[in-house]
Amino acid sequence: MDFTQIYMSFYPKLVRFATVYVVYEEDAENIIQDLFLGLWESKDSLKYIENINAYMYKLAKNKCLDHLKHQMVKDRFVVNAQTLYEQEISLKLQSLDNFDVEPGSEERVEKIVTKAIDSLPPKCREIFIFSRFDGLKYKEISDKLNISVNTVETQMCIALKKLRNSLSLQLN
Amino acid sequence: MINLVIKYLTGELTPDEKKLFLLSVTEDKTLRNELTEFNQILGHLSLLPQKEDNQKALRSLKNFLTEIENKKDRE
Repeated sequence: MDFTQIYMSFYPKLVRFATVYVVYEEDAENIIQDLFLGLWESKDSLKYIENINAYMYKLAKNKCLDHLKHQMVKDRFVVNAQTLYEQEISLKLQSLDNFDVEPGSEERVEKIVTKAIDSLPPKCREIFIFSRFDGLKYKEISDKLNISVNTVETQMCIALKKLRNSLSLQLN
Repeated sequence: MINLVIKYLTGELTPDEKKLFLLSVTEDKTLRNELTEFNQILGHLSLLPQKEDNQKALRSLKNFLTEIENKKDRE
């Protein structure tokens, strides 16, 4: 894969990935832009990378970890900054540190997740897709489907619990 | 409590609810583990391809290459 192909394949999903693990969404795009800038500078050696999926996921994970650690240190220098922000960073760090896709298993994980989403009850799947893939807030989903926010909340819980069960059964 | 974990991760807690939630997470290891677990699921979900990815990537690539060109010119 050359640089353009890698950019086209990975940019949007890595921005989404970073968004999950940083506190402020706007940081996610900067982190991934920075990642690609580094990649551009060494673009001639990209052809030697054997497993580009694993390489890119690892790179994104490390970039996010560096960012979180940097924010944590920066926050400590601000007076009265033992804040919720620091707590959030610490939790994100812990979660990201535990995130791993074994090299070579990326496609399998993708299939398992897709299958788990497909097996959700129709209404539940619709709500889940609106929330996770279309980025709608619970209120927007409730307006769109003419249901209560509580129903959206309940269906999201059902969906994520089912996904958790499918993933833990099939990945472990 | 899972409700709260999911609402936190999907950005649905109010600032006050978030404050209380984060305090609870600090004190409750089980809750912290739940949070880590659900966060991982969202991590996996984020890596799934989506229908507008191509357009987004193309737009961003154009900007990226323009930036690189501008940078070269400045140097």
